[in-house]
This record gives sequence, C-alpha cells and structure tokens, in this order.
Amino acid sequence: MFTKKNPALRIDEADLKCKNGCDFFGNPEWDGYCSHCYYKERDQKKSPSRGESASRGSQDKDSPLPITMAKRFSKFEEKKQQQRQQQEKRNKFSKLASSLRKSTSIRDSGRLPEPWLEQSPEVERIKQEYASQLSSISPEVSQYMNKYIQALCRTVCSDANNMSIDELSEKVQKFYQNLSKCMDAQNINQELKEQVLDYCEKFTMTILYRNLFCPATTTDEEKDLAIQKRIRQLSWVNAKHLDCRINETNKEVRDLVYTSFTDLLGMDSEKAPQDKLQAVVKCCRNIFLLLQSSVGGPASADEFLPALIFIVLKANPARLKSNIHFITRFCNASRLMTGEGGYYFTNLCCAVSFIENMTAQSLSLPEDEFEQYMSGEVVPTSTWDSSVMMYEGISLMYEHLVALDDMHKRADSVLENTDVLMNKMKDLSHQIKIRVDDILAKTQINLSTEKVPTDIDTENPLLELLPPPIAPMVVAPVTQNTPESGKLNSLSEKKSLILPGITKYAFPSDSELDALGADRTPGDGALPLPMSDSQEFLLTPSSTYGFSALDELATPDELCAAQASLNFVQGLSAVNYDIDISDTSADSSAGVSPHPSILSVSENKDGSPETASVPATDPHPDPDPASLLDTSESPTSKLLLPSPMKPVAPEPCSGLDKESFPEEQSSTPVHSQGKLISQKPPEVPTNATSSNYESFTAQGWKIQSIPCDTGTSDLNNTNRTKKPKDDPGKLMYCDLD
Amino acid sequence: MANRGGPAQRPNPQTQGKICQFKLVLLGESAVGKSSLVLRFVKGQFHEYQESTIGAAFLTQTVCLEDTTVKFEIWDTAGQERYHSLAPMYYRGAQAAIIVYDITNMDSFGRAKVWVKELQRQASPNIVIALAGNKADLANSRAVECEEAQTYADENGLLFMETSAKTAKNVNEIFLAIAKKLPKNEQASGAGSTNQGRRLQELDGSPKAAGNCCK
Repeated sequence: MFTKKNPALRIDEADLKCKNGCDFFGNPEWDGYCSHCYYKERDQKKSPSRGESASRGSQDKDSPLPITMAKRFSKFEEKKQQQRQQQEKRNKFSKLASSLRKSTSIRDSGRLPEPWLEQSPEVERIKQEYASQLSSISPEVSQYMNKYIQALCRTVCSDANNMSIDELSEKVQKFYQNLSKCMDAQNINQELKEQVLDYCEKFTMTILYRNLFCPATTTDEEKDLAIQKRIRQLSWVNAKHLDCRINETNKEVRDLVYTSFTDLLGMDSEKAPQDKLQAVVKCCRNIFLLLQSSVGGPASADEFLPALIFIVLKANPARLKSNIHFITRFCNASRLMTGEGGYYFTNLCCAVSFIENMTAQSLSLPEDEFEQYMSGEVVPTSTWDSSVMMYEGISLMYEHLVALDDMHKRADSVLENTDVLMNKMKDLSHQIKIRVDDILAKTQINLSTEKVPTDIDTENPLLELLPPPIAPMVVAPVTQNTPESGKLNSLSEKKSLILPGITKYAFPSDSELDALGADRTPGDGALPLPMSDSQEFLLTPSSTYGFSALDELATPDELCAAQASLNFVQGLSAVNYDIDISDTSADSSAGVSPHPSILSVSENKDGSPETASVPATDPHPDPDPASLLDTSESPTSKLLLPSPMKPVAPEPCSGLDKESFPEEQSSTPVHSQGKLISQKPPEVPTNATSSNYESFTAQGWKIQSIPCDTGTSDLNNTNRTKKPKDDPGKLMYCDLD
Repeated sequence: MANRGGPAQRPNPQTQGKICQFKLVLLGESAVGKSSLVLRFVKGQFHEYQESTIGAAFLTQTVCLEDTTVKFEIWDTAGQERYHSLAPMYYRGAQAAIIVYDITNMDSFGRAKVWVKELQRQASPNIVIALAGNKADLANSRAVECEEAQTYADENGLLFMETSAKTAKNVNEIFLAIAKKLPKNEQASGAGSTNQGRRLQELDGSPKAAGNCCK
C-alpha cells in the first residue's frame, strides 16, 4: 500500500525548483517559478500591455530590476494581489461554511423530526417507555404535543447557530410552559401531565442533544477544562480540610464513595436533562447513605454539602460545567427548583461554585500553606489517595497478620505435638532404658560375664587361667586323680565355656581343698572327684547344692560355711548360666534373662542338663545326708565343711552313684524320690537357706517341662563325657519328667 | 419524584381543595439543631432514627389548614461559615425561611441576625421569615433572653418562637404559623414558577455574586 502510494505523493526536489532551471525553489503561486523568474516572466507578459498604458519611462525604470522604485512597486502589487487572493479565499470559505450550514439546516428542517425518530434507537426507546402514558392522552393533546415538539425541533435546528444559548434555553422553557398550560387547559390529570412533560422533555432533548449540549457558541468547553484543571489542582484537599465526616477507612463507606463517584460520572453519559438530574440524585443518596454510617444518624446539610464537595473533587467528572449548564438551561425549570432533584442539583451547583471560589479562608488554612499546596510545592500528608493506600496497605497487613497468627498457632500446636511426641519418645526410650537397665541390673552379672568371658574364655585368657585351675596339678602329685586331671584338661580343651565358671568355682574350692587336703588325705583323695565333677559340671553344682543344704543342716552354727555355700551357689548360678549360653544358644539366655525369679529358674532351666544336676542335688542330698553326716562326723573342725562340699559330695556321689544307681533304678518311681525330697526338707531344715534351697528346688520342679529340650542335648554331651556321672543326671531328668 | 408523590397522597388533594407547595429554607449556624427541628416536624423523631430516615437535608411535610393543604419542601443548608456564600443558591425562590439559633449560644443569635438582614436584602420580597430559638429545653443555660429575641423579631416583622426539637415544644406550631402566613392564592405558586424561569438564567452568575458578597 504505502510503497505504491508513496511514489505518487513524493515530490522530488526537482519539482520544487524553479521552472526556469535556476537553482532557486519555485512556488505554485508563482506558476512554478522562483520569485525572480516569476517577476521576469510577468514583466515580460505585462510589458506589452503596460507599454500601452504606462509610460515608456516607467517601463524603462521597471525593466531594470535593480531600480528600487520598481521593486517597491512590484512588491506593493504583489501584496495587493495576495490580499485579494486571501480575501477571495475567505469569501469562498465563508460561502462554503454558510452553504454547509444551510445545507445542514435544510437537511434538518427538510426531514423534520419524524424520520429522525426512526433512526435513533434512543428515541425509539423513549417512545416505547412512554407508550402507555401517551396512549392514555386524548388525541387532541397528543396532536398538540407533536406539533409543539416538531415546531421546537425545527426552530432549534434551524436557529441553533444563529441564536445564543440563552435564547434557545428560553425557547425550550417556553415550550415546556406552553405544553403544561395546554394540558392544564385540557384538564389533564396532574400525574399524567408530569409524565407527558417528562416524555416531551426527554424526547426533544435526546433529539436535540447534539445541538444543545455544549454548543460551539458557548464557552462551556473552556469552562469544563478550567474546572477540571482547578479540581486537579485541588487534588490535595482531603476530607479533613472540608470538615467532612467521611470515614475513609471504613470499607463500606469507601465502597459507597466509589458508587457515588460512578453515579456522578454517569451524569455525562445521559442525554436527557432529567436523566442527568437523576444521576445526581442517585449520587447524593449514596452520599447520604455513606454519611449515615459515618455520622450515625440522618445526615443534615452541614454534613452533606462538604461530602458532596469532596466527592466532586475526587471524582472530577468530565464536562461538569457543560452538564450543569445543560441541565439548568434545558431541564424543566419547575422541576429544577423543587423536589429532591432540585435540591441535590442546587447542592451540586453550590459544590462546584465552592470549588471554583475555594480560598485558604474557605478551607481555614493559612494563606501561604494554601498557596504551597496549590502550587504543588507541598503535598499534605493525609490526602485521600494516601489514606486509601494506607488503608489498603493496613487492611492487607491485618489480613496477613491474621494469617500469620493462624500459622503461628498451627506451628505452635505442631511444636507442642512434637514436644509431646518427643517426650513420649523420650519416656519410651527412658522406660525402655530403665527396663533394659533393670533387666541389665538384674542380669548384669550374667550378661557382663556372659559375653566378655565367653569370648575371652574361648580364646587366650582361658588358657592362661587354666593353669591355676590346673592347680589340681598340685593335687596331681596325689597320684589318684592324675587321669582325672588329664581328663579335666581334655575337657577344658573340649569345652572351654564350661570352664570359667568351674575355674572360679574351682579356685576357692581347690585352695580350700588344698587346705583341707593338708588336713585330710582322703579329702585330697576326694579332690580329684570334684575336679571330675567340675568336668562334669552337672555334678559339681549338684554336689555343692546338696552339700550346702546338707552342710547347713548339718552345721548351722558356722556362718562361714553358709557363706561359702552361698558363694558356691552364686558361683553355680554363674556357672550354670554360662553354661546355658555357651551350650544352648543366645536365645535361651535371652529368654532366661528377664526376671530374677526366672534367673533362679533359669538356673534350673538352663541347667536343664544341669537341672538334672540341680535337682540332682536334691536327690543327692537325700542319699547324701547319711554320707555327709558320716563325713561330717568324721572331721570335727570347720574345715570339714568345705571339705565335705566337694570331696564329700563327690564321695557320696561317687559312692552313691554307684550305690544309688541301683537304688534309684531299683526304685523306679522317681516321684517317690521327689516326694522324699520335699518331705525331707521341712522335716530337717531350721535355716532359711535350707528353705530357700527347697523353694529353689521347688521352682526347679515347677519349671521342669522347659529344660527337657536342652536337657537332652546336654545330656548327650554329658553322656559323651562321662557315662557314670550321666546316670544321676538322667535320673534327675527322669525325676523332672 | 418519590417525595413529591408521597406526601401529596395524604391530604387527598381533590377533596381537600387547593394544594400549595412552598419551598422553605432552613438557615442558621451549624449545630443549632436545624435538622433536628425538621426531623421532629417531619418524622416526629429525635435521636431515635428509623432505618428509612437516611438524610435530614431534604424533607417534605404537608400541613392541613382549614381549606388548603400546604406542602412544605424543606431545604436544609450547611451552617458552616465557609459555606455562607452559597446560601443564596438555596434561598432563591424560597417562599419561607426559618432562621434557627441556639438559645444557649449568643453567637448563633448574632449569626441569625446576619441571616435576617441578608434575606431581607436578597431573597424574594414576599418571603416569610421565622426566627426559632431552638433548644428551649436547655433554658437553664440560656444565653439569649426570650424578650430580646422577641423584640428583635417584632422590629423586623418576623415570626418568633422558642422551640425544642427534643421536647417537640412549638415545633409544629412554628410551621403552622408559617403556613398560615404564606399567601395561598394561586398567584403565589404561579409567581414561583415564573420566577424560576428567571432564576435559571441568573444561576450562571449567582456564584460570582455569592463570591463577591463573601469577599
């Protein structure tokens, strides 16, 4: 498009140059010549005619251009011509303008209102709006009405540009008055008359809006701009300056302020004056509403006028003055002076006039301050905008604060819950710890000795430790037990786990035995037997238990013996336990550990192989007592006690074993033996220890069933090691069963 | 529009005979109780406003006399000094005016005197002016003597009453007195309407005039 058009429009420099080809620019007014060439050309053309009229002299003077006179004259001529041309132009323009005007007016008047009505949808709408009212009017009145309307439209349209706006206004007002008079003459109902007047007003004003609103003949537009500028200058004025009690921070009030803004701005979009008036009324009613919530009661004019001024200032409606003038000129005057609309419109006029004449005094501000504000040097801090901004900011802040509070609460609750959870977990862990500690405390000895020793036992330390237990080696010189000691070694090698307990147990026993041994050779002779027992751990405890019980029974006087026996018991328990773990498995030990009672039981349980032995103690004592008594009888001193512990026990064991086997075997009903045991302790024991042992044994009895499983395996082991010693175990096992 | 239709229904215009509509302007310093007085007269309310009472600036009330129904259209004006210059726009075309002052406030009486002078000079010559000394219930703290006001009213040909919007004392009475004093012939309302036509043209220049008077 442009590429094609541009060449056509383009004017080359050559086109602008003088036709003559001189380097000056030409001018269309000078026929495309430059001024120099144009004069030349003209002079050449004129010269023949002039030659006739003018004198030669002048021509001569003229021809030589440098001559000043000729120049001046030519210039004068030129000016004259230009003036003429300009005048012609003006005339043409004025003619054209007038013709245009005429043509429009002719067009307007020629067509008359009717064709217009069809064209404009607005007018159609008005017609429809008032159709019912118009139908109720008598045809005479409607004829009058239409005639009046047509006449008014015609006159206004034809004379719009010739008459002053005031004359037009007067015409329109006269039209209203005539109409109302006409209807009064027809005795038309007052309400209907009002409606008909409304219709006429709306109808004519909508049609004539272009002609009558802000016509070119008035200075309305300038006034509009002036007031707009003024209001813009006064943008710093806020509610406080006006003594206006609008609560700017209230959201409801703010919403109402905005609706009243829109109402006021809507005034410009309406065409009929009463519609414009209605917009003002709407705006003012909203102002009353917002004042009601701000003031707390029905607002009086004292509050209303400042609020209206404030609204006008902040809304700065377009074409405010034009609208006001249009309403005052062409609204039915009777309507404008009375009624709500009239009152509010008067207020609006007051507000506008107040704004126009606003001074420092009227705002009760110091003169210099007012000037500063007006010049924009200083901006008051609390303007509407800033307050709105502040309000929005603050409200937003509050919203956020509320949200934050909520989040805080939630976070706190989460924290609390986590604390609770933490505490619970701590408690749980603590309880677990306590329980574990308890359990550990209860099982501590066993556990501590359990693993460390077991590990150590299995490896080096045992080897180191073993020699001392080999103390029996000292005994070894006592020739009788050498093979047994050898067995011990072999056993220790075979079953290291068993040994530690045994060793512990063995040491004191050995030392005691040694001591005893010094006293008693038969005891010494018996020593190997405990060793053998220790090898056959099943037997040793059994012997000790049995012995201790028996011992106390036998010699209650001597505490040392009892302690020793207790020690032995402990040792035994340790021994037994160790044996359990080592022998059976960790599981069994774990199962054993929990309760002390169970511990005691465990001793029995674990010792299931041993239990055989533990209970074996019971059966043993039964037979033992006699033997022990026998032995005790034989040695009178304390030392006898330890000595009987092992040497004696084995002795009877050994002795009894052989003896008892047949006996027990013979007396197949094992229960009878158990009964015997149970029967016997009550009879004999006076000491607690003895009773304890009984209870122990009783416990052992109770938990008979469990040991069975392990017992067999242990028994097998024991069986491997020694057959003759197994027999009592077996027996005991049988008893347990 | 609604207000215009509303009160007109009450007196039953057809049967009641003539209806005369009058524009009444309330003048007086702010906080002398102008709107309270009107609210008491129109709504019978005092500080016990119903929801329907949104504004007290523009109210209408009809008063029935023997043969005529007088419809008052009451225009409240802003009493602040700064808006004094705008008053002419309100009282132009008014047939009646009540100038209110506070009997406990001497200054308000002084302002009332200014209003009277201004109305006599600028308002329509037939305007009926009434002087109301409001807050008569606060007689204890009276600052303006009743006699003083009465003599002033007599001198200037004004109606005078001491009123109390709170106790409703003399409220209806003062409006009735005005209604009686107003010319009820057809000319009054007719003159009003013709005046309006004139006034409209003056309106453009009126603010200037007001401004001049203020300055």
